[in-house]
Amino acid sequence: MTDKTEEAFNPNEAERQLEAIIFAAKDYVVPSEHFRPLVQEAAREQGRIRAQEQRIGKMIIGLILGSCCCSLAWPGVMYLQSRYRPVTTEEIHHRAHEIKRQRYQSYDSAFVDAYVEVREEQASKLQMNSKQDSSD
Amino acid sequence: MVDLLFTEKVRKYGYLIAEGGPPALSGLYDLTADRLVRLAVTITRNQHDAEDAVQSALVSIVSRPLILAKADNPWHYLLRMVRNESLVVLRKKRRWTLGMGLSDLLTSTSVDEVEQAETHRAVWLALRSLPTDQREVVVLKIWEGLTFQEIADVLDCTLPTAASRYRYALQKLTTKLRVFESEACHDR
Repeated sequence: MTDKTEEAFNPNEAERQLEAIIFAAKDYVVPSEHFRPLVQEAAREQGRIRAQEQRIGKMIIGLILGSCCCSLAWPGVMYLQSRYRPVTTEEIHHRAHEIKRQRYQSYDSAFVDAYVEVREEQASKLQMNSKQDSSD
Repeated sequence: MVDLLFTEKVRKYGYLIAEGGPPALSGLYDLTADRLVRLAVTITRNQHDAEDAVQSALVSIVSRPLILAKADNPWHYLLRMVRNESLVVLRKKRRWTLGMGLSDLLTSTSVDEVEQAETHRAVWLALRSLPTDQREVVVLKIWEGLTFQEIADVLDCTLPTAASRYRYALQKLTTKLRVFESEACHDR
């Protein structure tokens, strides 16, 4: 089809002359002198804007990844915190009150039982840690 | 006829801009600016608007150089970009310069071409008086040397449409340039 159309438009002599006249006028209009530096400056500005946008984009991706990591690691952090948090005397007193209510004991013996529970718990954690260390 | 070497040069500059950033645009500018401004001027009929359009197109290339480099025909892609930018500028500004002469255009005439300058001027004036779609076809056919199929691709129209627009444009230009010629003879 292309060739057919190209062939179909078969310019006559006058049209060929006209095409030649038009062709000769092609360099009559030229870009202005200040156009080149203007384009270069605009391109540099565009490059700066693009680099800035890329930096901001990377920062946003970093923030999103950071917050994802934090949210994934949060339960582990909470577990470790609860595991290594020292037991306060307030908690021992609170546990003593519970034992007193449950076992109908005096407060003093309930306090001793609560204290023994805490010590046992600490001892078992200590054993688990030493086992983990030896396996590592 | 497609100038394959020229097209490949445009593609090479696309890759260079992708690697080297904005400073590499100078090469593409030197290679294409004259031709792009020429096309844009014929569409916008105004030097400043044409340069705005070409600048927008070239700056867009800096943002996405690989689109140019990976295009089937980078030169046609660039022509299409400049054409679209020119039409946007034209729609925004609506500067009707028809009949205003060529005073807003920056023209170049070398010493040995002084005698032909009047003819060139007449050609540009005659071109300006054509409808935009016909002007584009003339520029792409005669100055850019594209085939009707390539013109149809660049202008996003059918091949017979491109051919008939060219035919009409030549008929009108013949009449207008004859008038100019007879006026010139009369002046002498």
